[in-house]
Amino acid sequence: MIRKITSLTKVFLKDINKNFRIFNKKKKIKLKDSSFFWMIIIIAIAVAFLSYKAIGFFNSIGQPRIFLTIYFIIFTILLMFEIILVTINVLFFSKEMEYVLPMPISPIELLLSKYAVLLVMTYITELIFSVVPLTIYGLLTHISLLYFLVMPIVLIIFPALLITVISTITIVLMRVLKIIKNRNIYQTVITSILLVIVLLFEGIIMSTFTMERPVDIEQQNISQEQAEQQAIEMYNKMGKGFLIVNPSIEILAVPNNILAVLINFGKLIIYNLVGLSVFLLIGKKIYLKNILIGTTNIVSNKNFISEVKYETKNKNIRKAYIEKDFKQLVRNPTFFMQLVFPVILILASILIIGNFIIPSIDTMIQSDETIKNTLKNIEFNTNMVCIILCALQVLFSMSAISLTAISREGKSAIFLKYMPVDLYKQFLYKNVLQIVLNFIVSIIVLGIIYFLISRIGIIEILLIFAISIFMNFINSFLMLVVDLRRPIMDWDSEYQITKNNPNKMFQYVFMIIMVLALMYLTKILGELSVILSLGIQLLIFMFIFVMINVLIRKNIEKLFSKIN
Amino acid sequence: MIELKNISKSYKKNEKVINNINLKIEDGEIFGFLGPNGAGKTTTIKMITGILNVDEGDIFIDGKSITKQPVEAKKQMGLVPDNPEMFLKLKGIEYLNFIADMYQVPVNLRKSKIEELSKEFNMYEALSSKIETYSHGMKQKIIVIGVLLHNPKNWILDEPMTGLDPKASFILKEKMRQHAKQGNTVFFSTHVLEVAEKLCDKIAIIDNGKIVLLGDYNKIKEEFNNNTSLEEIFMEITKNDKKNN
Repeated sequence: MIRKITSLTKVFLKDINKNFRIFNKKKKIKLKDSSFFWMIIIIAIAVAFLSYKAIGFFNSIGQPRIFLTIYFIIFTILLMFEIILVTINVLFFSKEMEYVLPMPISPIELLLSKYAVLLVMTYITELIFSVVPLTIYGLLTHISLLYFLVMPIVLIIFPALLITVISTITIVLMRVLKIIKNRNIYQTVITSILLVIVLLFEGIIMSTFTMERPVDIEQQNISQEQAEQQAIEMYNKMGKGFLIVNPSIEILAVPNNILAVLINFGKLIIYNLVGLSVFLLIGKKIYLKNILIGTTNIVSNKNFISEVKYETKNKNIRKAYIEKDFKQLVRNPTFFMQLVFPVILILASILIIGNFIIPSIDTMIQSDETIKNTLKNIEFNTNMVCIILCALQVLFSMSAISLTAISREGKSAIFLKYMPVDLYKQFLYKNVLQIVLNFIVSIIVLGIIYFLISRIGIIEILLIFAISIFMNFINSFLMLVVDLRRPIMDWDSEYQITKNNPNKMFQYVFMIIMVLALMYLTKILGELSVILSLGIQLLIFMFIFVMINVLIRKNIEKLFSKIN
Repeated sequence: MIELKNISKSYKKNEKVINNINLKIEDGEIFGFLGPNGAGKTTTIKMITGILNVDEGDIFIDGKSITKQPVEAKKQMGLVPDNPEMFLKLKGIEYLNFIADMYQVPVNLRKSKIEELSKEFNMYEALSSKIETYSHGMKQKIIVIGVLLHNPKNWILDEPMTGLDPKASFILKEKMRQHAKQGNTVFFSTHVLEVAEKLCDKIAIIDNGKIVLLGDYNKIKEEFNNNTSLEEIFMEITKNDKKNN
């Protein structure tokens, strides 16, 4: 049985990660030549830098444990989103199921191998987002060697319960909603329901926590230590909501207390065993009955003739082209969930977390007179502009619509070459969806900032918006250039070009370059007034955009040469 | 009319996959392009349609150069590619409307054409379904309808019969004959030599990137032996060519 599960897991993983060259033993690609290797390094460096700063801050106020709590809560939410976005595909929409089902495999074996696939996928996320910050935490807080022994075990156990819970809900939802005949709508609806549940869960936990925080520190006249202690208690209450968060933190915060470590490991194991049992029990009863929903296409026999919708007027080429691109993006659930959903989720999370966590940190800061006075004197300046533009740049890098604009077409991308439409015009049309999404992101983010920060003026916000438009163009154009030069047209699973696309490395590198450039500009323009500095930055980005555009136009034939 | 003048193409340095090809397909002709696997048929078709760049020489579609006036040249032709796995998330009708928009087919004309062609190919009732739900043959049919919809003067078809049921295959052959009779050009590649034998006015056999046989099919037959089938000619020619190499 174990051999069967191992073999099945290997096959499923290979199917998902065909393009994940880091695992390709046959080709013997050197690690340094793998895009994924460099992508992981880049992300790890960014995560390390942020963690180092955050741990340093909490260490300086003598509360390093707050880092662990905030980190684990954010990481749990991130993992939940990640698991939701992949679970339905792994369980129900993987193409290899049709070949596997006729084999003598029991439902339990199938469920366990799918569970193992999800575990491996989350371990990769952990490798990128957890190992580095937790190691830095261990080093900076000078915890004993035991910490480094228990840390890998915690990370191995940590995602297991999240996977079983989300997978069980997915299987049940698939059963309940099987009335929906369109598999694409089906997939999107179930994922949306799961994501809304997580967001609501996130909101409820956060609001419970904020309801209990002291309303006015000065009125209550409590000390800084008391305020900090209250904050820790509140974060602990939040952690409890996630069940696995607090035991994991307890193990990592006091690794020398063997008894506490054993008790908390015991708790984690019990939670996981219960989760796994429920998953297997429910899965055994209903998983196989629904498994083919995702792989079967149904040609409906209803009254077609009345449904044939002819166009009533001629559309111009631009409109028809963009409309086709839009339909192909939103009708493919994997594309939609991997390329558009993350941005929506991040915006929703920013709203929820921003609404609840920032006021609590603010409460702590208010109790410290020095920090309070420093904050009072802060005016809206170029540094704040830099932070806003960097945040926008990070958000622009979350979506890979332009980065996959050609690859998404797959083998049919050759139509770009034989359609009687100018290649440069096609280049522009292919950018529209990404630009529109980023445009909406800019409006929402800047809108929130405008209403939150009373010191910011309308001219400043309009200038930032104008800069963000050119940053948006530059981002989108360059990412499309990357896809044109390194298109992945021969794919079987959409994951090969969304989640596992090695070209994403360029997106992250570009993001870092832009952030560094913005920081440098802030440094050299810092002495000027905010409006003047913004005006100069706007001119610089306009110039860069014009240059990029000229170069693209000049080399358009060369850019499209890889599509053949 | 399609004209290839001194066409060469290489993927690697000093390794020409297409070596100095010259072809002229006159109006009113059905031209069969034959050759073994890997001989250079698809590469040639990709160059004619502008999918691949030409390294040497030039290609003219009704006198328009594919390298210098690509958009104008592409307007004069329609391609049925060898792989019909295209635009899977669009419904059949959406795909046809998209093609009609790209080639600027007027609304009234497209409506009657879609109705006529889809009924002829037995596809009308499937137009409201997404292409991903179609069988291989249906996908092939919708692509063929897409090409016939804008009625280009030059049809280029890469292995068009693959996956088509006998009825659709018959209709397509009839359409090809009709199109050529109206003074247009049909250029198609195929592995099915019987189809080429029955359909073509002219054939060319390509092997190792070179045209090894070109001419009027009836004259070729006379040259060999009137009883020799195209299959036998093909085997003879490609065998000789291998010996020469």
